[in-house]
Amino acid sequence: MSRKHARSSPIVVGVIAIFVVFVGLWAPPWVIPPIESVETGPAAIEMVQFKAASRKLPYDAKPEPLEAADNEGSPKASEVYQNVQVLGGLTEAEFTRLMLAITEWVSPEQGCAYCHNLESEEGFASDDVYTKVVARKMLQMVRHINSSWPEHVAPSGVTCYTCHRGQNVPPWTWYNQNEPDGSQFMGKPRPWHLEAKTIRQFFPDVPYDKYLLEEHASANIQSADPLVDRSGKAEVAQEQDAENLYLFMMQMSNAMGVNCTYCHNSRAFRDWSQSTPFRWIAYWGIRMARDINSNYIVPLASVFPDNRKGPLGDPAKVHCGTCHLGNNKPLGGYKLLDHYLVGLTEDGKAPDPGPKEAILIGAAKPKAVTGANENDDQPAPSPAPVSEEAIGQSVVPGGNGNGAEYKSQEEPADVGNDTLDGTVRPVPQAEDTSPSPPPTGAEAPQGSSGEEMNPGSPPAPADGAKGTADAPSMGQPASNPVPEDPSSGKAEPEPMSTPTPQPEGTTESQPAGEANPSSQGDAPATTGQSDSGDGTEAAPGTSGPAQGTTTRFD
Amino acid sequence: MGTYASIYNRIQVRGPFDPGVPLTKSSDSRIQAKSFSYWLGKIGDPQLGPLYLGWSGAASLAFGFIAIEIIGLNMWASVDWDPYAFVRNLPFLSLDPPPAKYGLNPLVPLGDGGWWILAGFFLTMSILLWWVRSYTRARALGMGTHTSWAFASAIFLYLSLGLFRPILMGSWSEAVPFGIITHLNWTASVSVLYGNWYYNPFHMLSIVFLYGSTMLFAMHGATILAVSRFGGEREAEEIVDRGTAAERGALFWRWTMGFNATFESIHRWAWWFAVLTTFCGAIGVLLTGTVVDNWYLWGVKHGIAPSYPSVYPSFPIPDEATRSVMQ
Repeated sequence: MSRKHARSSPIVVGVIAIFVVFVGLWAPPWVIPPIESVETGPAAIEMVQFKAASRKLPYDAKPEPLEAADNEGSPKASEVYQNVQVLGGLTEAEFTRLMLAITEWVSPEQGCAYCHNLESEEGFASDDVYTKVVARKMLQMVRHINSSWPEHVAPSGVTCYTCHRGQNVPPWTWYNQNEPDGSQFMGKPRPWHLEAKTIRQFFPDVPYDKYLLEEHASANIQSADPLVDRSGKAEVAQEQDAENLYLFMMQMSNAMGVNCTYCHNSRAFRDWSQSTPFRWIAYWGIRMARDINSNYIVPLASVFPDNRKGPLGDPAKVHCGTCHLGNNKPLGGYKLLDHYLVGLTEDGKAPDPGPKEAILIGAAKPKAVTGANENDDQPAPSPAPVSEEAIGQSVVPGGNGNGAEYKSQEEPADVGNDTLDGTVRPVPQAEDTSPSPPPTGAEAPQGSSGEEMNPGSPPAPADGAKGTADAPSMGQPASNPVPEDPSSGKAEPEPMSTPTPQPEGTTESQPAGEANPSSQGDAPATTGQSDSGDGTEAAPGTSGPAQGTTTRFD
Repeated sequence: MGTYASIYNRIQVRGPFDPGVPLTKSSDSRIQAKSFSYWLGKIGDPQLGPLYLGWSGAASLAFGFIAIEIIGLNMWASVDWDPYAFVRNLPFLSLDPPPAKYGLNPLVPLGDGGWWILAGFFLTMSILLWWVRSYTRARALGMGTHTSWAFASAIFLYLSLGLFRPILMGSWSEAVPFGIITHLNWTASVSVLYGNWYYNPFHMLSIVFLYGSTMLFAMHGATILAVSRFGGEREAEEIVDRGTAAERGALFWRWTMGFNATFESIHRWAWWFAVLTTFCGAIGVLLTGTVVDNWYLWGVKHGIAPSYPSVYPSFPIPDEATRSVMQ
């Protein structure tokens, strides 16, 4: 008996093993090497972005811009058509061209009739169809984004196509979700998308309504002190909040096809001094999404029919992926907007690349620096002394004569100069439609003066740092001022505890806040300002972002 | 016995049925299942039985069954009793501890975490009774209780995560959910929440002992197999009556790394490494949030977190971003 086993079992095991190997090779959607990796941080800490040339992103077709309109002798659209509320200032030729483009971007199958009731007596002027009312609001939104959020969308800006991609409804959106209240007898469900095809699609939508609406949770979940506060004050958020933020960040990574280290040094996520400048861009992107959702999409809830609404009766809202769709730059930075500047911006100009340029070349300075800086009195952050033997030679940065010399990377590696340009400076449109390359950090000048993005390139505009350089305070970049009229939907109610106004130019924690009442809606921020001791600690530093993160120890 | 020298087992020892040593008076009777299994013999002893259940084993199995039932039925209920969805989504299903609003209140609505408390109670009882079983059975055989105390170290880590730390923090919500993906998510988000757990020195020690355990296990197992041709599989005898197997193994390690454990001390090495893995982990758990709020900054403070050159230009931080949430 056992002799027979000994003979057949290797064959059986072998067949099973071959079958398992075959299934393992055939079933999963493998990415075929080579996979390009680009290091974005200092040497040896594995801040790396990966890119597979074979990976195709969804909805990445790039539409051709329509031929330029012949504006000569063309009357204003408002003179030709009735009920033109947003685009009345365009010439009729330009107006018609934009309408055709929008049709191609949003309703290529349904055509004009998707928004216009052509059978009514009013013709094109009729607002009968809900989509026309929505489209008008969306036009206002696109114009607002392009003119008021250069921190995030410059230089390419956005068009209808950035989100719609030829679909009536942008492919990646989110709805409010019913959160289980625990009243059921058993089986409190987790809000995962259980019908998901891939593990990324399992992520729930719950974090979106926590972070992408005007009333949002704070993302500052970590403590700024190593030890627990002696007074027993909680400095760390609840674990459930941390998980929500964790999921939101994973969704953000998924939306842009990058990993954590695109923006963060993962060893200290909260520390801005170790973060890449892309975190600054993403910071304003999150606030832009809040602006879009709260001021443009949520107010449309009464306009949308039920079949366009989620389970809780809210319209489909935007998250990072709504524009990005897996690309760190939507459509690879394709500058479609440049062909439609007149209709899709408020001032006819492409988004100002100045703020981003200032960030990426390091020319931006916080406005607070111009005043007395109390942070100067504080000792610079430095690690506690460690004996030389303890460190060992492998991490001593070179030159001690009795060990291998370790040379830290002082400057970003030269990985070509075709990467960040698209973000900060107009470049000729590439034919290539593949996803834009990952960040390289290569834009820091090498052998160029501080005003140049690259050696030999024209200097950045002198006033380019205007706006973002002013250490924007909570929620609103300085280049995106709140309208005077509080009824415009942008302003928020006065906070319960308004801090006493502080003189301009100090380093107290609110360098631009006084001119910016909308920022006061943020409850944690407000309490932080009214507590002067903490405000000092939290004020942005002069010498880069390190202050307030690693300085103060008990 | 050279047949033991290969890395897979080529022989099976198949003797007459061994009923074991006589029972002590306090013991229940054994379950006299008697059989031999060829396939069990491939990986261990081919003899099945006799089994010993006893009151602690029976109670432990019963409590464990109740705990698994509570967890499984809650997971199944969360997909509306759909068997297909239950199997397909099992890795993502979860039984969560009560939300923070309940604090340490043990009387939580069943659907809002009460089942988690019940499942935790029954699972803990089951584990503790299994520990009692491991202790009493070792005593009944006249053995030492080394296994029980090693198991106790693992139980200490389990209780630190699910009971001691939540009590210290004053909320059940700090505990780990029952679920495959969700307990991993808990791990990831708690590590980030407390400023990167990798800078927790007790986490470091735990990893040292964990990896050390695997290395010691590999070294020891390989050594014994390698000297079995000289009778080295008779480890216990060679501890006191050192033969050529022990001496060759010892010499091998002195030649290759300058030092050797003995046939006796290697087992203490392995036992302590295993015990300290979970014990250090538990200490690290208990210090987090009770003493230390941010392990990364703790590491900076004590000079174990090196600073790296900045490769990016410095830029002004948005004001809101630097403020701690609770301030």
